[in-house]
Amino acid sequence: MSTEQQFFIDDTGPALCATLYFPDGDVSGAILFCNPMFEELKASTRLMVEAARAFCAAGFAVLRFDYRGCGDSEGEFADMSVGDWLDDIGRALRFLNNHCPTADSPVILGVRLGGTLALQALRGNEEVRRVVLWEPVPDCRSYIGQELRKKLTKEMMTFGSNRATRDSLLAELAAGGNVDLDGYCLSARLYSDLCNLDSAGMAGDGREVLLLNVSHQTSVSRSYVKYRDRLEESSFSSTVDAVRLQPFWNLVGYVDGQPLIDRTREWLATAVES
Amino acid sequence: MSEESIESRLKKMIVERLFMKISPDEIEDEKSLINVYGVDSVSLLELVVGIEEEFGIEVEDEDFDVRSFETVAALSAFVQRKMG
Repeated sequence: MSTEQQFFIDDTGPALCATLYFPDGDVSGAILFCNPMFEELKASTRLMVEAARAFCAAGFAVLRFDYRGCGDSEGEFADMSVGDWLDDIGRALRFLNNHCPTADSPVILGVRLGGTLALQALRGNEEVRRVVLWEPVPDCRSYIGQELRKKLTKEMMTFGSNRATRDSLLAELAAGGNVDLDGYCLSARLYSDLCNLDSAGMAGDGREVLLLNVSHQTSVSRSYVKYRDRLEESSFSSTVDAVRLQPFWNLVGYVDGQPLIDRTREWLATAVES
Repeated sequence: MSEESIESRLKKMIVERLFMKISPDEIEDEKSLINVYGVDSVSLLELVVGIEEEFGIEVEDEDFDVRSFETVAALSAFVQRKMG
């Protein structure tokens, strides 16, 4: 019978809340989940739990964790930087390796901004050879722009029209201030860190990537075709597919993520066989 | 061949993007998308992006007025205004 253990990773930094899913019998591999951010984390959690259980049933040890300042982990979101979260991914990877020493090289599965962070966390890490990206964020500046738009839409629904504009909110950040995103404090430093990710290089080094574009469409969007080109230019070997599914990271209600889980499991199985 | 009306394109886009389990024709032009068809703030943003892609227009922050997004008829008038 597989097991699920919840604990804190408190080796070298703030305690990170984590859940380890350990399969019954032989372990065919290990997967580290990298969460999305802001409200997207809340909306994605149930699907990630179901995915973790499904991969565990297929023989994978799976680790899910909260970055510092997020979920049940130590720290305040407002104080965090991208560097802190990349460090957390490294710590979680070390933990997974220590607890699943017999597994092949671990796979990182990043959801939304978690996928973008995962690609950066590969720098200097030779162990991870395969990465799964679920609707990653190809352009962090645009992503923040959309988050700000979400804020405006909520204001419109509440007050009839928006009270700020994206320009005024960006000016606030540029002046060193903070912007509230559904209760998450987006600091000027974090905004700047995220924007810098857009120009940060990626170290593919022949790693395999499965990128799944989740939308109402059955074909891969233009932005992900471009993103695939960037991945290939950075020496990743990529597989890019479209999965027709609601944008679960944006929805409060339940979304059946089986098509996404199935496509990922299929790719993982192929990689294990080869 | 007659050109598809803005209302019809809007209804198709709404059903497709919001994964609604009704046919586009079932959406009535004057009924509230929010109160009758369950559009919330998140799905409204999905519609904003959908309108931009479908009609090649840009929805400015200043355009965020709930009256423009209340019904298909209001959306259609908004799109026509933006398309000039």
